[in-house]
Amino acid sequence: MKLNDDAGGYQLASDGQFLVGRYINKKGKLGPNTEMLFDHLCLLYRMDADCLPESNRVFVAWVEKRDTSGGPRMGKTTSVSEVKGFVFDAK
Amino acid sequence: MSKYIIIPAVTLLLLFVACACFGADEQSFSISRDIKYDNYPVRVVVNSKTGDVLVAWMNIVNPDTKRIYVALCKLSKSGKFKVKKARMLTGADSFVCYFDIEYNPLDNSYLAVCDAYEEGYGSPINIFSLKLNSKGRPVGSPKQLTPKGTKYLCPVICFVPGIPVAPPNGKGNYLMAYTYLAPLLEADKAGVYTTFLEYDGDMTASVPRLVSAPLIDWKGFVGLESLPVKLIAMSDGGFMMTLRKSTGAFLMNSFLLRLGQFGQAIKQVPLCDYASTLVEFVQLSQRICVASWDRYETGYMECYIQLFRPTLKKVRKLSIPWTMTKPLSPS
Repeated sequence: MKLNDDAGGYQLASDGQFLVGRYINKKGKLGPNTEMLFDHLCLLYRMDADCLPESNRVFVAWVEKRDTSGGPRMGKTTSVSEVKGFVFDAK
Repeated sequence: MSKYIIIPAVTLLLLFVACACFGADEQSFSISRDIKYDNYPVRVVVNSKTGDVLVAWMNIVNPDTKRIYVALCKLSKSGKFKVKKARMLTGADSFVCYFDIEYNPLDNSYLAVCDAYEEGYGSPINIFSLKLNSKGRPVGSPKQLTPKGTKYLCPVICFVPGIPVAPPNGKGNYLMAYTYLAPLLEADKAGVYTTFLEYDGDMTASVPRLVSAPLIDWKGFVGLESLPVKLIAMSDGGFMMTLRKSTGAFLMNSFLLRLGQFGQAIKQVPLCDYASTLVEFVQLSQRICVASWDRYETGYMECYIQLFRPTLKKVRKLSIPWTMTKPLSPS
């Protein structure tokens, strides 16, 4: 979740494959619609976001993995991963 | 019979409308491609002066060697982002555990902090800071914030934040937090500490302050799951922190802590009773808005938003019907 103090904010969530968002006004009330922002065949990991100042533009970045086996705790070093970004206007 | 046709059709229509609404202004791009190693924790920091965005991430070569990269996404006059070539902040064979990064509008710079093993997995851990200019280039050399040879700092490898740093408060000062894992003989020293970083261009760390006592009873297990999760600077010069405390195997309670301008604990409220994942929160006008994922005994995940006054009096709790166990779809 990331919020713009002046305009309200935007809540982001991902289940590892889909990225969805929902507007929140500055009193914390949720907007009526949940937007599907990204529907991807690859897995989305470690998402973070920030708002552009004085606007409703949201910048999201995540790690996208194409090989789900293992992980850093498992000592695997052959995963294919990429850092990706996405910008949208949260209206 | 008809409802089996109508429901998917309505869902598809809503999905189409939602995508169409967002299609006009969105931009998607690759920031860094790596076909060999894992890229893990990602941080996104907006430069409030220029609108540029600095993206930082950890490149995991093997359990010992991790590198931190940053890439500047430069905002053009047309409103498009252009990704500059990624820059490695650490050495190629660094023993980094975790990192955080924040923007300082006072001098248009960024402050990166990271903890790293001295000589590889199992050796003492130290915390470093590194100042970056507005282009994401290092200014000077890394500054060690902890006494050399400090042991038992929480060796977080990935997945959970280990050393969050708050964005600078009104005076430009930072606050950093970390977990100290005490050996048996020093059990009373275990807990979550803050270190106040005074902004004077030198980022000298203050004496670490145990914020948890006496508000949080640290008796019991203080391990990888007892962590400061996130820090924010409040408009009054103080700070707010979310903190997760392990209460047993796979059991965690989350707290929201009000901190003074030097990182001293003032008050706390519980956020989640059973088990929670990472908590994200911000100051929203005169409210603190906290979002958290709770896991219940059934394994079912649910997201909550809770609103607090700056005094930590709870205003409202909202349940968000997004789950980690069901496919997400627009409502």
